Amino acid sequence: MKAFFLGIAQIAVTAVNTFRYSKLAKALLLIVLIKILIFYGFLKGFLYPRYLKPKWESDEHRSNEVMKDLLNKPKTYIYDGFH
Amino acid sequence: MMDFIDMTLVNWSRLQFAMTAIIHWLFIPITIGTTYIIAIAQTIHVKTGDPHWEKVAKFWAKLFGINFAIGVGTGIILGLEFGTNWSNYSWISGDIFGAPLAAEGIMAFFLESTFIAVMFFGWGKVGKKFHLLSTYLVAFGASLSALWILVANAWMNLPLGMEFNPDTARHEMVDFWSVLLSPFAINKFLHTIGSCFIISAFFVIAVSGWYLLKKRNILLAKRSIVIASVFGLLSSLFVVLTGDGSAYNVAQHQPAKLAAMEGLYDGSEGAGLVAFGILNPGKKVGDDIDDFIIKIEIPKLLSLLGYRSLDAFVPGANDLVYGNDMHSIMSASEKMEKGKVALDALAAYKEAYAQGDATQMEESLAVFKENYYYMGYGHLHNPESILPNIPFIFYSFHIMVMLGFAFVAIAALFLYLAVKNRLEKQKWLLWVGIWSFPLAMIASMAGWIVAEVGRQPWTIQGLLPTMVSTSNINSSAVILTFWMFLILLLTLVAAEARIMYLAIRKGPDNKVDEKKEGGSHA
Repeated sequence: MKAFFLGIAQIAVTAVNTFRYSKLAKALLLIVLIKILIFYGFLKGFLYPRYLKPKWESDEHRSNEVMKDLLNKPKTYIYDGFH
Repeated sequence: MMDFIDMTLVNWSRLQFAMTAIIHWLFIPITIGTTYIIAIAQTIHVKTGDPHWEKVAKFWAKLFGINFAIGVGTGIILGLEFGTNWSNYSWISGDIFGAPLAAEGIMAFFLESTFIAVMFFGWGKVGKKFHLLSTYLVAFGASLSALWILVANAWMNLPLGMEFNPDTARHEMVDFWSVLLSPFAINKFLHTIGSCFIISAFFVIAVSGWYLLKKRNILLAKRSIVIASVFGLLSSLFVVLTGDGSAYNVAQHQPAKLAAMEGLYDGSEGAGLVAFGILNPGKKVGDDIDDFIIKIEIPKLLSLLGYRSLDAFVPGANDLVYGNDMHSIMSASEKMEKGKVALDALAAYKEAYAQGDATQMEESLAVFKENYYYMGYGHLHNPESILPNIPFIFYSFHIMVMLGFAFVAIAALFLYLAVKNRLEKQKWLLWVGIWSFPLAMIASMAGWIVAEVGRQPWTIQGLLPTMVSTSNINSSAVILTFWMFLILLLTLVAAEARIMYLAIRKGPDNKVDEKKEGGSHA
């Protein structure tokens, strides 16, 4: 068990050293960090919930809106498009 | 709520999803397949103790790492799109669609990401066998990730194991195992994973072929080609086998897709399989114009593949649109009528519910349940709209199939010449190997087009049309985010291409003396 944890600790040290000294590892880490910032910080944390995501007061409200779409959309649709 | 369907919104939502899914898919197959090639090289290293096999494994692990780091997370955008652009679909299917996606996150992703650190940084730090086990667990985890996504996707093609709740407007899962083990899910998983293996095999062959052309890293290239060609050959044969299973499933559950795949307008008994053909561009469903300008057909094969009988009737587009009494095929118009009955019954149920009329609720619900499986047809306006775009599906399918068979031959040829140690002299074949990688990617994309565009007009086969699945948002928001995602994702693709090219050009860390390798046999 001791050898196992020692191995894990050595892996962590190797990982840190790799990111310190390898240009490639640094570039990849930077890309991952930028992605996290954009995907989670900007898109998921800010833009979508504030401006883009449809808003419902409750599940019941959302279910009613979906039901209205299910029942009303067919009456007005005219097919003339590319599938 | 909108009072009409904004087709600009529907089309842009589709285009955005297609674009993000295509770019996301550029990263996935290499992540899934290359891990197995790394694991095989590492297994040989552990078994033989030959340090050069460790070098082979480390080199492909480096390229895998580049692809993984740049590709990981691109699927998050698809998740955002489900919630924003496809909120009706997400609500209606969330109970079923959400479960496999959650399982993917909890079970597969954690397995993959936990052991990936050991795989990358564990060389010489943990026991060889534990390190090898970690590599296999990363490979297994990546495949498991794909399984859950493909189960969710398969459910859209063959909706099973659920009931529609008219009170909440949701499909609720009643049988998880039906969803997980549906024939569509099993076959889709095997077929798609097989295609990932082929792409990875040709990725390895392409890079190794380039080294052989440049006369660099000869031993690494030869050994990599041996593994990749065996892996590629077995995967190609496996994909042919699972392709047969796909054709059977499509014939049973999505006859309109099958008709489009084969450009079959008039159904027949003992239908032949079109091996090669050029569709008549002016051909429309219901007219008398010839289907094909030219075609080469294998007699009776389509009946055999689709229905396991040489003389089985395979319905064509005309049969599906206009019906065929002799073969008990209901016309699209009849299905649309039943669908409208289902929707009217649903409306009546909701009204009765609002008024507290229990008797009317019960009656309406009974009518709804009777016609439930035609509910989606109630949204359609024209019978012809039950068909996908036939030429697009036909050509996509045939490109996929032709390339699929070509990959069997190419992998076999590579394996034969690698074993005979004659690869370096066959420069034309090395170029074929290099081009096989993008061609494998194209074949895979073509397969996705057949699967997804071929399912149109449905998001959930027969139950929910694509046009009713979108959100009630302004199309300008979708257009704006389309361009935003395109720029973002193309930047990642460019970064991947650049970093990957530099890593390939640099080659492996040459701790093993290359001079000793020059004339060695793989």
